[in-house]
Amino acid sequence: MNDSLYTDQILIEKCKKGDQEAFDLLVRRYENKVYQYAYRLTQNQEDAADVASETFIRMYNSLKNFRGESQLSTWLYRVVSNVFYDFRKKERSHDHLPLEIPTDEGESEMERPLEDPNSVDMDEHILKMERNRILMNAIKQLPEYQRVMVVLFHVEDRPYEEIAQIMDMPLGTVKSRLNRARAALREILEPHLELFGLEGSPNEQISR
Amino acid sequence: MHCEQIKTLLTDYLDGSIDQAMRQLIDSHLQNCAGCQRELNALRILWSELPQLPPVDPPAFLHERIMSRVEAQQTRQTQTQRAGFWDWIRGYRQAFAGAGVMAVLLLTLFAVNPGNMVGSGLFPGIQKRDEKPTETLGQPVTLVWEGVQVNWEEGFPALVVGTRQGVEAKLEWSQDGKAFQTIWKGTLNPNQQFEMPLGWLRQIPGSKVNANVLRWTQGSQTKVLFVPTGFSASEIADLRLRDTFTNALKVIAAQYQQTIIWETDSLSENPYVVLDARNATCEAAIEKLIQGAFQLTKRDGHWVITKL
Ligand SMILES: [Zn+2]
Repeated sequence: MNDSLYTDQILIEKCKKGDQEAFDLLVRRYENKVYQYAYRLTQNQEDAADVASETFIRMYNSLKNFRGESQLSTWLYRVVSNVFYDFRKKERSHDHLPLEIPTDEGESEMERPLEDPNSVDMDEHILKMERNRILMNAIKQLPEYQRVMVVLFHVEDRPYEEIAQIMDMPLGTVKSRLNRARAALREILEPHLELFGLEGSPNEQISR
Repeated sequence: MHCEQIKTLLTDYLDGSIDQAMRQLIDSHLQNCAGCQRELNALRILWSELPQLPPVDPPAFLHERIMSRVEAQQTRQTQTQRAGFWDWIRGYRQAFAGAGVMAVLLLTLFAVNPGNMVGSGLFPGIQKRDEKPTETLGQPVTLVWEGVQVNWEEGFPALVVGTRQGVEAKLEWSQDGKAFQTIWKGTLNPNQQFEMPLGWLRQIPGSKVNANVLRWTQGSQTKVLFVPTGFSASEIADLRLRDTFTNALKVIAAQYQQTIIWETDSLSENPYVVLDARNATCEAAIEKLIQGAFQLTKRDGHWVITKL
């Protein structure tokens, strides 16, 4: 079966008739995307692979009810988000970790001091990597709902309308929640903002 | 405006989702304020770098893991659903072994919540019904209930709702009948059909029983549904358990594979009950549970519990 020949809808119809190969193709088509999103949320290879697996189990179980009213990708975003909430809930019930307190690991990484961030010869590439690391850590500290919001909008680049569909919320709610999530992220990044101010003017001494 | 106010608006400013007058205000402030200017630069980098996070390589085992898990789940589905339920019932049986007194009691309320839960008033006595359910169990059934249906296709239930008027609605799920979490929330437009496959509910970690508690709220109306999620049904069974009232309804729904609908006001009172129903039909088991304090009727192949 040639992957590119079939639309999602055709593959879904084949799946409904019990075509395993069609299901395999659907998984191959979306596993990378699903994994990327799951990884941004969980920030852990094992967890992301587990979330992806559970997502496709749910897809398998629900395909016969899939009516094609929304894009499969939109629907998958929603399932990944829900699986992620479930995983976190399970994790919490094991660890007895309160909802919004970052793990020790996250904390210590966030607090790790940088070698003189104002140094003029700090390589732009290293700087960018360091920003990425800090960004990922900051996202990890957001509560689940806000994390999903920020990742969908800023990392996955989904428009408001699609997020509204994914999260089953009115557009206005999406916007206000996203604003809250961004403010929270900005707050978490407070100690590191100098790092973000450096770009474009690496020679400028920033005093705060 | 103060810097603090300006700073809260800067993300919108970058998005362009801010009106012209406000934009001009911010522009003029930015010209004279190095602090806000710095904040703006930082935010610009922050929001522009998030989409540029380098993609991560999926692990080599990803496809294999997904496919093997899906496959494992397929084969497990029929076997363990059943086994899990019986293990659970067996656990209760063991817990009750030797407690001869229990056998005498058809239904006992435990005073868990004596303040608002008084046994005598709520469950005054037993009223047995003689009719037996007439439909063939295990057949696809449809629940029609004020616009809400639970459809069964090949053992997979799906909730289907349609309304004639636009209305705010909400579907919630609960493990214990107490803490509900929202599955779906939105506006139902006139003549629009909302459909939610419920097969995935059996995937929920820690779910012990093959029935789920769902709460459908439509406008100001709230109904609670005990929806079985599929394995072969019993016509006659021995049910002995001690649990909360809602969990007892879940067990009955699972055992007989019948959807049970709770149509009275609320489930805020959820007392502990002992149910000892032997050689009982679904109807007899429910009757023993509600002890004539509520009315049990059959509607469109489903059991409906309403106020007397
Ligand atoms: Zn200012």
